Amino acid sequence: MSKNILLFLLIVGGIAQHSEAQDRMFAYAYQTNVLNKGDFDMEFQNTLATGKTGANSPYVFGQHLDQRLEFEVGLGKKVQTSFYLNSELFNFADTSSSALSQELKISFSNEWKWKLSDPVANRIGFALYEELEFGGNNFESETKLIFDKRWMNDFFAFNIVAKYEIEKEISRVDNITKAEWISNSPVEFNLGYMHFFKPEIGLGLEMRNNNTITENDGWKNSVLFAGLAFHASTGKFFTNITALPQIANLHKTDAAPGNMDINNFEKLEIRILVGYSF
Amino acid sequence: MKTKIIVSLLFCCILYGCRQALYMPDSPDAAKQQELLSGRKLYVDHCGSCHNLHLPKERDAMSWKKQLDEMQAKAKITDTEKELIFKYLTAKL
Repeated sequence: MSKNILLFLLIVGGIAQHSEAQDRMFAYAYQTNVLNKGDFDMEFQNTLATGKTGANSPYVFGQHLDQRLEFEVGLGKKVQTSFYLNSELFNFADTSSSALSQELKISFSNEWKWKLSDPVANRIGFALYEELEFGGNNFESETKLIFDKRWMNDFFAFNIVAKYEIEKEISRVDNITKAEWISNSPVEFNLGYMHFFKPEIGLGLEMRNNNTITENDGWKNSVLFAGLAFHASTGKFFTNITALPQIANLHKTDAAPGNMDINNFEKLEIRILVGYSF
Repeated sequence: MKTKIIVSLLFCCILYGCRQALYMPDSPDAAKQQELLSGRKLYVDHCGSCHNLHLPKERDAMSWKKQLDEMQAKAKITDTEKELIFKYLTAKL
């Protein structure tokens, strides 16, 4: 067993020693980098979110495990496209049942990124991003404005994210089952800061502000997540790990009057991203 | 008043921080200036896309040469383009 591990490390080391990975530094915040024409890489993203209690039907237990497998290709002229396979697994037990329920959603995404300026060569790095997600009963559009800047060994990234989600929901009222399309337009702000102790190792912070906006209720809720971020790369591999506990409820309402909103958002999210550049 | 001073200082810090970290060539020799500008553009376009650019002073000439040789295939640059990038990166060392 240990011989196999050693062999694997030697192969990885051998493959990895000659070039730099596309260095995405944060698990949540995006940077302006795009791949050169014809280059491609793969990323595997795993997010565990836990501690949500459920708004309408209180959860005894609620946990989310989201996984994304991404394949990125550089198209030239500072444009990059990516294809994702997404799986979202939600485990929950609410007070109406004695069993653990599971809900699995599988979807496909296509992302486009266009870099307009560089964080080192220009005053500020800037890129436009659009992602379209198709699932069996949902559609999502995600538009991002990506800004980043490097000062010596410190790196900053800031994203403004506008989403439009539409999903078919099933409800049962008075013994009648109904299916209807529900839409909402969340807005997110992501901020990442990373200090590099060595070119391959960085430690920093990530912050995320999530806002839910619906057609009927307007601005429904807003929470702030913040936590430590870690980045390491070696040759063609990189990994980013961020733990984001919810730290504040920024829009207190009758439904969520406390300092945290765990009816609608998880208490803690941990994301691990592993990338390999071919 | 205090708030205005703090905001102004913060604004100055942001402006200072948002300067270009990668130097612009300013050679009095027109031909050399053109060569360095081409090297800079190639460096930004071919190297800055995949990873964050390293500043010229982060390495010495020998280390830049080794690095460029290693990255040439990945960056898809010709020998002439590699030479221009090398000249730009080492012009101020």
